[in-house]
Amino acid sequence: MYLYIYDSFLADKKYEAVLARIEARLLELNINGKIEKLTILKNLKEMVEDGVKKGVETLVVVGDDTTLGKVISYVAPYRKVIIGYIPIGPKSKIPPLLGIPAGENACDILSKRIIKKFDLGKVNEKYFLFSLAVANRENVKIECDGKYSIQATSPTSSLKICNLGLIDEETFFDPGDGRLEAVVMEENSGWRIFGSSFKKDSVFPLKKAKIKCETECVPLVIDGETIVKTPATVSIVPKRLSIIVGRERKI
Amino acid sequence: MGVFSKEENTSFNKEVETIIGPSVKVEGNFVSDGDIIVEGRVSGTIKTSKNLRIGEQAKVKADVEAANVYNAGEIRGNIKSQEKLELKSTAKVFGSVETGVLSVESGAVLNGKCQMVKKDEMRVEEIEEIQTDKKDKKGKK
Repeated sequence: MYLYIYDSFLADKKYEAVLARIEARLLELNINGKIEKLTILKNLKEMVEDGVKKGVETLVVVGDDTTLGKVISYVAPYRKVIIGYIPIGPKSKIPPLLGIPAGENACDILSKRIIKKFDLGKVNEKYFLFSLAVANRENVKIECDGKYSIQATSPTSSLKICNLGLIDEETFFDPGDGRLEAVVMEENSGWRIFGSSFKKDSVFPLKKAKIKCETECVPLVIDGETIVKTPATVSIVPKRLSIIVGRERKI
Repeated sequence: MGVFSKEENTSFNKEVETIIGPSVKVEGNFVSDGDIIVEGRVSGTIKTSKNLRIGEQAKVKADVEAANVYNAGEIRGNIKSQEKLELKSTAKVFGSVETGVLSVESGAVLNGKCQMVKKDEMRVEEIEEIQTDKKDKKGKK
């Protein structure tokens, strides 16, 4: 049984045509299912829980990377649910890594059902696919694997713990390596870790971390959406997510 | 490997797993299975079975152990390199050195005992050390 979750931005008229083409292709491939559209009034968590109760086996995210991140944080506790992804919109950066083309072409990938298992990050009982960002890094210390601690010394640097993410077109954080990466980034250096400015950024592979702030509770932003506060315990949950990928995937 | 790149040309960067940038302070026992680049400040120990590169601005107050060590910065601690230790002209080392091959550029500072050890000898020494540790532990029990 398939459940399709459409993000709220797809209510815009400019997406009508592409959605019609997607629905027609799903029907042709005989993988159509229930469609739920996100609005301000609908709670995504309840939507996912209802779907699982009704026996949904494949939950397809129709939207961009933000939609995927949001849905996965709620799907993660249900091991049997397989995630599909139909990327639409300019904010979709991850699909090329997964070998998923945009729009209706993603339907063929769904029907072929090549399933890959990805690690997820976990912070204080909440799961994340992409990253965890420290909103204010001042006085924040990250204890990595109980062996060493890292602290950013520059006021312009930012702190992140990444599971999946693009650095540039060819360089990325791999969600299948069983590790997370703590990244200290200089504001103006971007993601050019291996380029000319790689010397400015720092990368630490880790499995477990504790994020602490000596002076106050600092907010941590999960996949650009949910917020938790320090002190926080971060860990990797290996092979937790089952996701449908394409043959042309880079991961 | 955590960070993966298909486009890297230099073999050192190809498998770099840990990069300690100039705006980072690391404290504790840093152990890795991959290559490490240090451009910032580290205190404690650094240990890897692969390559370690210490940049010009780096300040390391730690005992260091790696297969190959390339140093252009300051190390205050003992260095153990299974294969090669390369000291660039800007390098400063305050501590004893144990390596298979040593390369020192003019201008480099090396203050400490220097011992040339073959890779196999180092392994024998390590095995002996482990055996003595085990004996000590048994003795305590």
